[in-house]
Amino acid sequence: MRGAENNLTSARLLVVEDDIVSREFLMNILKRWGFDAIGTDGVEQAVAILQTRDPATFECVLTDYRMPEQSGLDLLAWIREHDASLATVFLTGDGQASVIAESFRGGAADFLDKPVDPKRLRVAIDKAVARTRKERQVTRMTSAVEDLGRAQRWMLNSSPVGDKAVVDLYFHPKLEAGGDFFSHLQLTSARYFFLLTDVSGHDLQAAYISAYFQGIVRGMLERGAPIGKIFQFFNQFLVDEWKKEERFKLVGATKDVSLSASAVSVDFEERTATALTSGAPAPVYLMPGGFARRLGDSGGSPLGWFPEASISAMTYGIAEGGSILMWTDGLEDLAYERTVHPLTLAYCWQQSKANGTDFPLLDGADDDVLLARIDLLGQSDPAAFHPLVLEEYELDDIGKIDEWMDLWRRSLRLALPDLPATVEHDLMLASREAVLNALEHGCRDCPQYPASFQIGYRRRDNLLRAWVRDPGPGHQEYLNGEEPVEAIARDHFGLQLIKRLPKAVKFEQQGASVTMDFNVI
Amino acid sequence: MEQIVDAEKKVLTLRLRGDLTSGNTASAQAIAALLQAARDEGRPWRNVELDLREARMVDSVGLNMIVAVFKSTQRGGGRLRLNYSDANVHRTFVFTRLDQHLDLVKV
Repeated sequence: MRGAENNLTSARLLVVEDDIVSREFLMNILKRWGFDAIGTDGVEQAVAILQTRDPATFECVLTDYRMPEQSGLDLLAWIREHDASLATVFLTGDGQASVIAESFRGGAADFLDKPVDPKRLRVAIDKAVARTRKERQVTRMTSAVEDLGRAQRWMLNSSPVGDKAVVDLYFHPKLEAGGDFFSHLQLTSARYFFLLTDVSGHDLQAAYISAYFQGIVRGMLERGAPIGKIFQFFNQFLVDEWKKEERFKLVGATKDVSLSASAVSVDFEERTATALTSGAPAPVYLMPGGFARRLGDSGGSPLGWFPEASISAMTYGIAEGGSILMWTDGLEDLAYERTVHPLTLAYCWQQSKANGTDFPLLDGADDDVLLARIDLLGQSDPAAFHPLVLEEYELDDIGKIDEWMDLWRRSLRLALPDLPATVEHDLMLASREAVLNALEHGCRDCPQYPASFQIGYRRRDNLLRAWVRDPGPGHQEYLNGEEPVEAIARDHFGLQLIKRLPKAVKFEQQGASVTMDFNVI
Repeated sequence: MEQIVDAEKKVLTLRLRGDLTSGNTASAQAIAALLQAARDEGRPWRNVELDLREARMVDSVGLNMIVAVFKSTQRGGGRLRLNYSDANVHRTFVFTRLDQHLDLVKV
């Protein structure tokens, strides 16, 4: 940019006027005001000057409307095509409404009658220069954000991890760049670290702070700091910023910053995964067959809200060939809005990417959305089920069974739009009975423990599988043998439906664990 | 719910709304009222028709409700007839072998 932002008189102007007396009058007055004014007498010459010197070096064009060869509108058209940010002010002696309207439609900044009133000229020139500068600033900022977004996508898509894990990333920013980031770090030959962060907001500040936190974590981890301590450190860092008087705040008086994070540290020797979450969705671990479990608790407060950080940390055993899914709350929010499970969105997104197609549902997201899939010790198992639903239900909530079924049904319809109605019905009804049975019997004596439910889909053989686990001792007495026809007198219809609706059913742990398979075709 | 009594034919028709499941409290209440009325003397019907044509799903709770109506009607020397339209509802009766006991009519 030429000159200081507020110094409008340092601007370079192009004056296009075929009448030499008028032109000299304008040049004199503009130079006296301090403008760098260049004069010419026709459209062709004006275009030549702009081409030679680059339109971007000018901040206003002052042009006569009526000239012998071409009109000011021809010049305006050329300017709009080559540098639409360059403001143009028209001069005319006609004073015709049609000319005024036409010039404004063409993008003119202002319009002055001849003979020109110097006071009006000054106001028009200042406004035109300010408009040019503002337009160009917006263009530069837009370009910078787009550059940042490209850098963010490049960083997120360049993920060599080492020989023990493969990371596949899916990123859908709300704007060009946003506050969602993922990175990973190999700490030793056997220890890998994965970090997902989400800073409030969808702007450059959010992107910068998220990347800054990722850098701090990497640096501190490499020097041996425990991840929990690092979370605490950054929490304090953000809380201190919040506490400052507004005039001392670094990130803007009206914008307090918080950061949600989930981290997974995988030890391949110990065969463990330690997950930490702070205000973020808990990662999901997929066992080699596809059975899924949450690693820790979702939610809590993000870093930066309270002096004591809310951090959930848990360690789990892992197996070779398993996978971990991590996502930011943008996916969670979109799933909630659509009444589908986040794992269903994750599945659809992965399938869309694999098929090279768009996943237009993401365009409706109100937040950045980032999903990371980490396959441990090699590629994902083709025989594994993709989880579509993973829920935990408590006995006290048993009256919500219809709401739960609505989520299952909508998730299935999104993931498998061609699912036959009979298969959907059978899965819904058998799952309903199994979940109600788990809650009414399995959870009755230990209501503090939930029953878990999940649905998985395996493309290889077009199979849907529903799992129900309860914390009770089992229901062996119900499971043995085939009921006589007289069973009409007994209240075991639920069990009959669980046994007969699926293609195959397996009871384990005395019936506290039920696995039901359904052929999609 | 809609309840129609044909006193001449001694038939009570109960038209249920939506699925017959544990979540459908209106159906449960209607059937409970029917059973209570059956226990009272002087009811003007012997036979019962449950109209399930709106149901797309009948769960174990719904099946138990049907069985209760079936037993009640039997005790009174009458018959229970079930009208259904959805094939999956019929499959549910087959899988639970209730089709061997109930008078099922596709409408």
